[in-house]
Amino acid sequence: MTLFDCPSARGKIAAIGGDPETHRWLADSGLIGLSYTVRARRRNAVLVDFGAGGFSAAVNVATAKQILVVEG
Amino acid sequence: MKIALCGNPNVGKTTLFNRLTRSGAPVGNWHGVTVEARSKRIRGTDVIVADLPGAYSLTPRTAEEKVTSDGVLFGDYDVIFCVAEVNNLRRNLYILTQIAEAGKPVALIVNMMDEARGKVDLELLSRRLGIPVVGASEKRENPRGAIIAAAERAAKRVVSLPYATNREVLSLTEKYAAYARKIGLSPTYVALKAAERDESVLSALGCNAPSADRDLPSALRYAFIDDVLRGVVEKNSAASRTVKIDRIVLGRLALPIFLTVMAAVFVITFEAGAPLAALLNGLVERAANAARGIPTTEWVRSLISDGVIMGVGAALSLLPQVTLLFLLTAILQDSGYMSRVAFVTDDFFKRFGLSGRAAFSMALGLGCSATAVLSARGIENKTARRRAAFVTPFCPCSARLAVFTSVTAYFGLSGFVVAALYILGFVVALLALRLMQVFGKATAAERLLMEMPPYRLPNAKRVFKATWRNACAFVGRIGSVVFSVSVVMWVLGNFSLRGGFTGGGEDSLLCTVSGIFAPVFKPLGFGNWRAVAALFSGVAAKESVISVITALGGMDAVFGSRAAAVSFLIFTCLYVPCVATLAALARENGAVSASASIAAHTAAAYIASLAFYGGARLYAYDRTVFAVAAACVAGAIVVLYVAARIIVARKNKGRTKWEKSTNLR
Repeated sequence: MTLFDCPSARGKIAAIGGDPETHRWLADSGLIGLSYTVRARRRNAVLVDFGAGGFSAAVNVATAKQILVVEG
Repeated sequence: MKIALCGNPNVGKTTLFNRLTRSGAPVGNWHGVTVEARSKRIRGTDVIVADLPGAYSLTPRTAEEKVTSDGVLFGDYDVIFCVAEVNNLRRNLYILTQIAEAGKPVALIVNMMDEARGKVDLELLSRRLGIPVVGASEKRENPRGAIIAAAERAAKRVVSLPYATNREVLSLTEKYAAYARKIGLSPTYVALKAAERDESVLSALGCNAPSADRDLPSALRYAFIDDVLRGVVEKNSAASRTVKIDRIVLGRLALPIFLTVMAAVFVITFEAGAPLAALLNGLVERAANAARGIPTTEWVRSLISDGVIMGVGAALSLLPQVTLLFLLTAILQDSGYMSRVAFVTDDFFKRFGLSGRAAFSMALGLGCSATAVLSARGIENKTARRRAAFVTPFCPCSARLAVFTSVTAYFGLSGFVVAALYILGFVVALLALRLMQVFGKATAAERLLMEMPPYRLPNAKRVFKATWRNACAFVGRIGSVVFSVSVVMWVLGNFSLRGGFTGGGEDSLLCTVSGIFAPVFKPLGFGNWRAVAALFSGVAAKESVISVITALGGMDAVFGSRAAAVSFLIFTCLYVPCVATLAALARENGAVSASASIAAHTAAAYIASLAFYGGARLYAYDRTVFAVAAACVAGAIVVLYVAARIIVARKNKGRTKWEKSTNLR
């Protein structure tokens, strides 16, 4: 299950897939292991709050599909 | 002493730089505002501060991040100050760890302290990191003294990171020590970057990646950061103001809200600014009339009244409306709403091969096209970046607005004409993008993970400064370029090769030169030398167009009808950008692209003007004939559209539905 298609709005980032460059970029953002809350969904992007009191970011579909999550 | 300010985008580096050095560099509550390094001395000291573009890591992903990475790793700074936002310390400290790994003297500035969502123990943070930490905010006193003192302390020490002695890290450090010395970087930094599979470091080393886990460096860094921050920041409470506002602004009504906001900006600009603009116009005319009574030679009187006062005054009288536009744009930028614009418009721009990031450039283009072209550097994908830079000048800038409002006001045309011109510019930009999509190469998927800064009440001081800076730049251009062009145009329009001062008329130099090109513009309704001269002057600065028209006899002398005036506006809306924009485009995309821009803009302007003026004349001549012609044109457009779809379908063969819908690889 990925950040883009997860039915629930809350969960935890389990792992990051994708090509080496994308993986590096997302790992550098410290996403692995963070909790997330999806605030808004569009056709090509999702707006997500990462971590408790962390940061908010708009994540496009190509990236969101490479972020594997666990719900709850 | 030389210090550099670096850190993630949108943490307030440039605002801090401006405060330290008393500068007026542009700031905005969105990404991509700073695209190159700038340096200045702190007055009264021997400290030079450099403001580096925002970067998340020393592994650069965009052109602006490369500027920062090179500056930090290979620059001659005595201390690197990492600027972090108080409510985003975890992510913002990531780049600080890499700077420390590189063995550079580093200190920390925790910025926006007035917006902290809880208590922050800076002393504890400083003890845990082992470096000086300075708190800063716009509402506090200037941190100049504290930063200089912190720089002096930081310059004498190097941070030791606990994870540098991790067994795997030590083993990699030993392995790459010799390589690191050869390329002039710290062995710890090289070891960790090699483990991360950093391409630039691996290619510099000339060796393969090690077998270590590629996530080991980021895991170690964030474990260190989490340890450092434990107890430093008070836990945040539930949904903030930002979340509540975003529920509305980014919900189902996102696009209507965005369009309403843009429409409100334009309506306020025109309606509220119009009375003051009319007042200024009146004052300019009175001043020119007074100048015509000066007891001196005829040509001096004419130069002062028609060349200078009327020429410069015509552009200056639009200052109220242009300033209002700058004010409203500054408010939107400072509130944090502009970042939401990218999210809201991302779906839309994806259809044209770009991301919502392009909305930034286009929004900036409403103020100044040259700035907007430069801001496209923040777009990661090269093809998308070049295309965004190329089409942005189609969106009318504030200088073109000056022309629009003057002509529409004179001919009593509705404000909707101006709105229609903006829509036209935007539509042509999208058309250009579509053509590049169909006939050019596909763009790779842009990795948009764009931070959304929190909403904040626009700070009056920041908004005023931004508005003042832009308004001064507008007046500065009038005082320099428009003044020069007005005088030159006055000379060309009032002197002939044979007989000296002619007082205007068709034997002037300007008439001779412009007259050569005038027949080209006859089908567009303004085939006279005055209109052509005004268009030529607009290549230097668009504000000059009105000044030149005024200096050469006014609107009635240039335009024979309202239709001709609107046709001229359409041409002005789309034709060649000013030289500053062309220079920016040449710098970003190359001379060929700048040349292509000239050709594309001229062609688009000519075709659009011709279509309008031809249609207007046909309509006035015979409505039935007009209806038939319009139907034929519509039919031709449908045929072209179907042909384009067929070409795209052949190109899309074998791609997934999602790739087709977004035209991405």
